Amino acid sequence: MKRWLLLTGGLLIWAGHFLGVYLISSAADVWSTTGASGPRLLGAAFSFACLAAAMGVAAVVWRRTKTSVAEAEAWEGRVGLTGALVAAISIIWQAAPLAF
Amino acid sequence: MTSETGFDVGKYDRFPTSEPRPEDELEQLEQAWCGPRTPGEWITATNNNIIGVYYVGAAMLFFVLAGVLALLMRTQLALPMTGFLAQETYNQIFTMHGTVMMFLFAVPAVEALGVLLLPQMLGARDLPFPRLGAYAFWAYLIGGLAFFCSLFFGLAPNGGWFMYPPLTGMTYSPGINADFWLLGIGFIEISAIAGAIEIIVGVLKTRAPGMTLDKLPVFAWAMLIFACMIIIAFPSIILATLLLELERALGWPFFDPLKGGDPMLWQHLFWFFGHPEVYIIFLPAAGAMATIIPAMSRTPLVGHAMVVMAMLATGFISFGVWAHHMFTTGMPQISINYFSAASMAVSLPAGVQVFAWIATIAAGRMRFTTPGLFAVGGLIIFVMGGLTGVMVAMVPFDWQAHDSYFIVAHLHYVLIGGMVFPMFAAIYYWLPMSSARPLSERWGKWIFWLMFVGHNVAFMPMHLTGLMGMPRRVYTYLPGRGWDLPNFISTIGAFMFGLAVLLWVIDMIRNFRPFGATVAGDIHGGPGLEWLPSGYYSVRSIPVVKSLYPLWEQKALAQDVVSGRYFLPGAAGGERQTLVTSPLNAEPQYVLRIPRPSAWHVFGAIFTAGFFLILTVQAYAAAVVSGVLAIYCIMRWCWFLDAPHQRKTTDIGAGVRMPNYVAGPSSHGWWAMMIVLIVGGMVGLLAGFSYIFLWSRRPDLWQAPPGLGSLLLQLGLLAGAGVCALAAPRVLRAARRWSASAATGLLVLAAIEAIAAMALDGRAWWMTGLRPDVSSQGASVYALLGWAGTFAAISGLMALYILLRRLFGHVTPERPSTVDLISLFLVFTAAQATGAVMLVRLFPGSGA
Repeated sequence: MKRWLLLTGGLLIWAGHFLGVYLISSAADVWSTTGASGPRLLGAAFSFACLAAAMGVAAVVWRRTKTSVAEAEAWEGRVGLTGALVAAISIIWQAAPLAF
Repeated sequence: MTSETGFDVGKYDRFPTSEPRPEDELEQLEQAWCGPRTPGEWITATNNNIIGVYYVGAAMLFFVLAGVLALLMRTQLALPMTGFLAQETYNQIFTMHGTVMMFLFAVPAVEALGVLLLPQMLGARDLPFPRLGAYAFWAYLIGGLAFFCSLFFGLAPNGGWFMYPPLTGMTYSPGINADFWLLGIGFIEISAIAGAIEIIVGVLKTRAPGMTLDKLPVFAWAMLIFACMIIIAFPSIILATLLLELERALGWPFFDPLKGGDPMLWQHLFWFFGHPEVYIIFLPAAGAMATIIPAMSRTPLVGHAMVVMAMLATGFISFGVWAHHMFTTGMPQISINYFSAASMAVSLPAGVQVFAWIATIAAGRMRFTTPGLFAVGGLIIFVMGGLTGVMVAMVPFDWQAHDSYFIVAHLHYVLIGGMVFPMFAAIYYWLPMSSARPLSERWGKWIFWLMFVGHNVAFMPMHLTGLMGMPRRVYTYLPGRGWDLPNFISTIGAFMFGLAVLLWVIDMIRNFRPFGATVAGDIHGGPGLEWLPSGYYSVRSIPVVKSLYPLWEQKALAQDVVSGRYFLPGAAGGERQTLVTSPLNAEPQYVLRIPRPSAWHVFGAIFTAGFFLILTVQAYAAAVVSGVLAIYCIMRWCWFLDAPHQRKTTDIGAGVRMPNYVAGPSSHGWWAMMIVLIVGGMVGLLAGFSYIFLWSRRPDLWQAPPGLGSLLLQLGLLAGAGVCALAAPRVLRAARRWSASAATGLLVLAAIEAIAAMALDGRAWWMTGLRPDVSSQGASVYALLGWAGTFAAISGLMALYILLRRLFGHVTPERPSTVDLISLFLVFTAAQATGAVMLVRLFPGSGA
């Protein structure tokens, strides 16, 4: 399970981030307005947390990749690392609407 | 490498073996895996080589049928104000064209390709659940043909392939046309899920030893992601069709705003399935491209790890873009912006794949034979569709282009470039694996160019007609709007495309010779295991894989495999067997006995299809009879599972012995049950979303739930059900004289508790005066409880089944799989019911 999580962890966080910001804005639409500063701040905080988590996954995978000698695990590390970095970029991109 | 299972991978060095093989070994293997001998055996066959060919054939039949519908539409639209088709007929035809292409061609075609290719590609003898695969095929074929035939009786659905309410509600679609779609498609999706279970467990658990994730063929990676996406996405359409059918048949107002419903709920549920569907179709095709391009270029895929990452990323992000189909529905602006950003981000993984294919072509020496042409042609068309995709991801542009012919052009570029061309490339590439003769190369080039030019002539002008304001789905148009010429050109292109398909059909009739003693073989110099010499038993012996491209880099592999110098070279005890391996490192775990063909799965498919189809025409008594017969057939089919073994272990080669039976998380059955439960859980989760969504629309209509006193009783019963179900496998494994009876009793008790809890909760709501047809609260509460109750009812059937097995002496501590799996199901049932009961009682917790 740990190897699967390292392989797909960054991408899972990306998907979680997307669903999270969407749910926050939908909840804001019911309880106040989507333009209110509270939900926007919450969305930004959630995005920072997701970004930090994606970078954390990238760091863990990077450390494991450097020490791993097995070809298969090194390959999984490369996939997991690029996935986590792509996730980090995408989280920043998808949080951009919060600024407008 | 760290061992995943404790298996000593140093034993791989014993292979290929050098001692002589027994003389009659191959004969025994052929005997065990012999093909059908009578006409009836061709129907009851379960071997992937046979079912796979049937499956691909059926999918292509639906492609041709839906293509004919497209030509009828294009004939109608060739000139303004033509009367070739009546308005209602046109509505039925465009609905059936989209529905058949998406549900009966695209998804089944790639699933079929997986069934046909994966065992050979992975070095397995067959997929782990061959009867389930055959059941899925027959259910799909029977259901699909009956669904298509509705067109001939004027009963075909007419609300467009995404069937938006209120158009498809009883007010505007009063006949049974919409019901054909709702029940037919819901049923066909169940068949797709059955196929997905087969593929996931097959890829994770039946790989050749040594085939670690980095050596897993890209096509198998794509199929794995594809099948996982089906498991997550398809429950949404199952729920959506169920809710709309409940509204139509019983008046439960999920989508009726007058009673607190909201048509937007349908759009959310439909597109949560519908957009991933596009990637569900695209990913296997991309996997085929990433296999065919390196083979035709004679060089490894550039950026292999990046391509796999891109496929995984596509799978994940595809679930975050569903609402880009809903930009014009008035969602909150910031939500629209999120979906717009995510839709643009999809181009990142798609771009990685496209650049990897281009780099591979550049790095190698591409052979532009027919598969190569189709691969490159598909790439060009897909990139063009992707570019217009980025355009419509921009909200202001989408507002202009929405529901116009620009969208028709965009989606056809994406789907034809991303799936149809790769499918033809795959057929031309892999057909020599199943046919004594390859298809004609000369005809193939004609077919490609006709199709490529025809596609662009047909769909390129549609961008213009769309931008000039022509809406999609109109059956005719007035002259003088500038639409006449581009429509006429589109029709010419469509007929060119049709001619290409006709030539392909003729060439298939001329050259396709399946099920013979010989096959054309590896005429393209492909590097995968699927090109090893094979028979109905797949490979003669299951090799140790040391490379992503084994046939290119393990030079003597084919010879050693054919000589039986690897794993499982024979058929011990005359049984059909394959090797089950671990999901990450593919280390051998046990020998799986593959069941032989029987008729029960075919009858099961016939009666299941019968149940849904008869329900559509509202012959309820006959539908119930068909449903009961389906349950009986499926129980008879399951009865032969978990049967005793004569030997505890099998020598799989070089003195390595593996057990013949394993229960728990290592077993293939456990994995399949977990996937089934994920499907059920997804439906439950989405039903919970629907409940909260409907509350958020009209909270003023909601009334207070029953008192908390009865809730505690229900929760107590459900907790009891969970505890009993959890205890049953442990009690069985205690291996005492009474263990089997006690475990059976615990499971029966658990089922009774679950059923009682759901019945009591339903009654408590009923006593409050809430009725399902009065408000969206009533509809969603009873739907959620009904879903959990259905699981409780199935638990009751399982309790009956385990009781019968106990009476016949089939429950023993040596074979705990059946008890394990029923226990898992019951624990899930109790947990899901607890979640459902608590949600409807505690949220929002009070009335308006």
